[in-house]
Amino acid sequence: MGRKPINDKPMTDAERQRKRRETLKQKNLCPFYVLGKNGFFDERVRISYAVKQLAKDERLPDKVVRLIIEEAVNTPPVEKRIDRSYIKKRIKSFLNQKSEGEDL
Amino acid sequence: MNRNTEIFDEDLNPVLEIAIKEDLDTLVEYLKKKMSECLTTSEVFKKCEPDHTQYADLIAKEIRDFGGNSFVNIFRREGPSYHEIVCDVAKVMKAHYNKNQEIETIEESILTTILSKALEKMSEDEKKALCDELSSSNKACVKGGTVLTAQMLFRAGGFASYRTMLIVANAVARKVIGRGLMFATNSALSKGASVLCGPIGLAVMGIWTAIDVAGPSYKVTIPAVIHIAMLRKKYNAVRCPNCDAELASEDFKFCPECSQRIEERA
Repeated sequence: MGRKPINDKPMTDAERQRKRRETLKQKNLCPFYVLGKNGFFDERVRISYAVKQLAKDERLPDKVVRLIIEEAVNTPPVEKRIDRSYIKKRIKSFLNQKSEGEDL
Repeated sequence: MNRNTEIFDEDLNPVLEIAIKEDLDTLVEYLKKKMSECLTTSEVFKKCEPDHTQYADLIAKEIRDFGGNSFVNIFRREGPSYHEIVCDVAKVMKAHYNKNQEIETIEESILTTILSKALEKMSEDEKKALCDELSSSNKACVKGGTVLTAQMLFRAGGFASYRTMLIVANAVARKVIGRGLMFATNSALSKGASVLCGPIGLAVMGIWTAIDVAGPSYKVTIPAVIHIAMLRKKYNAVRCPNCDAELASEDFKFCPECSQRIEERA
């Protein structure tokens, strides 16, 4: 981001603006590195899809599903109540929607 | 939970995507007021129209697009961040803010400005009505200065400050779309909100002059920011799942009203 100093010349307004836009663009991106194409060798992706499949097939008791959701909402911890509700909604939706795990 | 766009804002999307369709209806009405909106032309809107929850992410994108310059948006491929839009609105409304503050603080400052202007125009009887509508702990402060009073009303916390925001958002909705907010969940609130829309409506009319001077896009962003501030308060307010009573904090393990154990979190 930005550029290396050229002869101690300060950044121009345009360069500073470009740098600011880059920062804003990066703000909401959380890199999630996985092993192999589509996470083929990644244990985290595999566990996630396994839990999803088990929940979809109703092989997990409701209590366990609720426990997984509660734990997933707070890992890593989230401060704002709205954010927690949103994450919970997304997790519930992920566990209920039709499985996409077959293409792994 | 299908996503219609990859554009995401951490301050805006979570609020809109957990909101119920009655809450989003007012925002859609604000957007429809502008000829340049793209929401109504989208396929998902045509397909699921009364159920706004299906395209909450598109509503968020549209609000952000209205907050930025159209040509700049093309190069940026999205509107400015919602935080930036709220800062712009605070600047137009002459609210006290700092761009490094949390979004809730800036939103509160905007609403404090509106409410303090409304309180200036209120008669003693109207102020008394406001006292009766809000919790008894706030009654003493209404007799004081207007800005301080407005600040105290918002800082009452939890459900009480949500009610204050609801009254302001209702007055703004009446001015912009010609009708009040839809109250799907709490009819008792709607009664109080309509009683007080007069004086706050007058204050909003004064603000409208400022909007006309500032530019046309503020006709969407200002009401939208006020409505979203109200929604943020609504979904942040902690209520007992058994009796619907307001709780001062989400750390409560038992409801002080019904004595039931509170198990539900988030």
